Amino acid sequence: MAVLQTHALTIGYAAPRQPKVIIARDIDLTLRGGEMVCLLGPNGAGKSTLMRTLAGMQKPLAGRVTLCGQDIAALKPRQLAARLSVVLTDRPNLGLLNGYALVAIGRHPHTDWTGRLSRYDEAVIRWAVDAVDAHDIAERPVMALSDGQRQKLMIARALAQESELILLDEPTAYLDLPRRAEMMRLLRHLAAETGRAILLSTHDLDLALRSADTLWLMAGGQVRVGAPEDLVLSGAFEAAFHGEGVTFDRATGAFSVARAHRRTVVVHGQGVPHTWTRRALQRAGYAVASVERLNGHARVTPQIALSGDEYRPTWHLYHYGDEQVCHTIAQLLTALEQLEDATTEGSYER
Amino acid sequence: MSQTLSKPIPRPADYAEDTALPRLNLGLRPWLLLVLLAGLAGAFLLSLAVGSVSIPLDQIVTVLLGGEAERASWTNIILKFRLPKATTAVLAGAALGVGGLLMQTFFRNPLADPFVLGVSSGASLGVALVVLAAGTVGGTLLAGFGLTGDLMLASAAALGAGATMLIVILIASRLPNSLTLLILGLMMGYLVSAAVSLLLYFAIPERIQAYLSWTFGSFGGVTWEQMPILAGGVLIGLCIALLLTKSLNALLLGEGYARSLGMNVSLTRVAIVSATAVLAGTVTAFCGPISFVGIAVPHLCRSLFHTSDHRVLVPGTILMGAIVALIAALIAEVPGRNLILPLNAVTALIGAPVVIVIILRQRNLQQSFGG
Repeated sequence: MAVLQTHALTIGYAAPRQPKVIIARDIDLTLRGGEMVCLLGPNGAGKSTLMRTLAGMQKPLAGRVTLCGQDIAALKPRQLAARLSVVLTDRPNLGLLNGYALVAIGRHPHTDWTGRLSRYDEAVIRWAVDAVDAHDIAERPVMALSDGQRQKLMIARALAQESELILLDEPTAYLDLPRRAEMMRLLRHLAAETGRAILLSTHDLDLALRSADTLWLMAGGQVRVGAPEDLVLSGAFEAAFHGEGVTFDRATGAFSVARAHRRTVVVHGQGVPHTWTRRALQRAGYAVASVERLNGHARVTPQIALSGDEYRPTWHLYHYGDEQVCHTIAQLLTALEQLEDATTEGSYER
Repeated sequence: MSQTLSKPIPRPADYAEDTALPRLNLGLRPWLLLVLLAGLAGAFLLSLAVGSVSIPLDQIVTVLLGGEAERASWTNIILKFRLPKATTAVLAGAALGVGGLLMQTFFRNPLADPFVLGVSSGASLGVALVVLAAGTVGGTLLAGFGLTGDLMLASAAALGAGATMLIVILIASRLPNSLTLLILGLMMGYLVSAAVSLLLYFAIPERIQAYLSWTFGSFGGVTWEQMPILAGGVLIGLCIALLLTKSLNALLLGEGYARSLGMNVSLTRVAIVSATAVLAGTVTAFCGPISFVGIAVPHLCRSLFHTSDHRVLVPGTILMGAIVALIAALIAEVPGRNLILPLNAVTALIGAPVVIVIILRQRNLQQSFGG
């Protein structure tokens, strides 16, 4: 079932006596229950504006956002809160609240003015804490917890709100790498198991590619929708992040920090050592090509072949008929560096 | 983690069916409220018993139950002097404690007190105008209208506080964020103290003395006739604060989260500001600007209850504020001697070291404060 839908949505800012700033127009999106979608896009593409508009915190310039078939503009704040919960990037200082008390705040749209918790409310709080696997920390004061544990409780708080849709704004922002992977797995598991629709914005491109059911790729005033792999194959992914200081390698699915390309290097073969060799070369600023595309330039282009077993490979570097043997990637990079210097000096003399 | 992720998640209903589960441990300790209530009863009786004349406890109970004490003078002392004073202290302490809590949570600032909105500055200006300017215009004129002594001061302070209150509430309902309000309150404070110093400069010395003794603060000036006004204002403010506990808890997460939980942020803001203005304004009108209780009591309560949850903090600050005010009034009387110290000097002299010790022991005020 479609939980969230946008209909010809145009987002941006409208201030009195100033021209409207349109960030993206005619967006038609659908988010279903049990689905986890990652919203990606380069900085300034308008991810936050879209999230804020979907959360009802900002008015659309045109079009509608519907939640379970109802226009969110027509919902009262409390009705909206019962259908939509958020996890924001703010890191509120929760002081002496313990974990259960924090998660209990998620029950606010369902309790009376005193905030008294019924047996059912308590059951939901317990369930939410168990669902994020936080029962062992829920009786400790929140200020004594790590960023990852605290984020789990914030997600439990959103779960306790019992909303069909959970929006998370960069939920992995403050976490270290293992915690990020864990968080994404957790969110995906929650979507699948609880039937909720989960939308999160993230800068974690690599992790999003690996975990999302669907990607919403926002760039150039448009939102492209598709399975992560489809967006990679169609080139939409590369195009979106082109010029962001990173380049995306379609072959390995990895991002590399872009440097000015020094020259092209050919790597022969495939396998784990080859993958890491490619990564090392890209990191050092070489364009890595497969041999097929460079037939005929074999003498000019340095070529690398690997021998030996997977755990102790040997690298063979061929250039103008010379062969150098390297036993580590560091050696290989040094050798390439020297080739580069020799060539530059040569061209200078000429 | 990995094993947990592969196992299915039960439904909330599965937990609801399990009736053997204990109640959730939210880290609140509501039984401490009973301890505070007992403490309040003790402090109240003590403040009736102790003073320039000591009265035995059983005699106090007899008088409170409507009987006559062994000596007629005791009945008189209790009913005419000590009881209104103790009642005023309870009301004022509760009001200032809760006002401080509201402001600290609202501005997420551990240094906020009920007067950050400029209410006491407004009251001081009102009093300064009446006391100081009356000297230049002619005190006999005002006296001719029967506006003399304490009642005149109270009305002037109430007018000043009320005017500031209205301005602040009007602004609070229009502002996009709360921080601007804090700066505005500060600026109003500066403006008013500038005006007061001008008035002081041109005033005659006896008038300055009268103004200064108002700024010392006192619980002793409220008569039974005035008590319903003080009690009414304070009870209205406390009721609003009790109604706000849920919203205050949501505000711990920040205004963005509070809104996402279905809270009407602008309505809540006006309610918080109004409650604080009424609490601080009423108390200042009748007791003068009592400093320190408002800032210290919420901190005392947080470290006693060890939580930031307003469901216990609001009733907790009511009781704790009343106790602190009663004890301060007791000490100001210097039991056994015919001497009354300025109340404000006592609250700060006793209160500041207590707060310093608590903060040093806790080390992480910013965190425990929960702002």
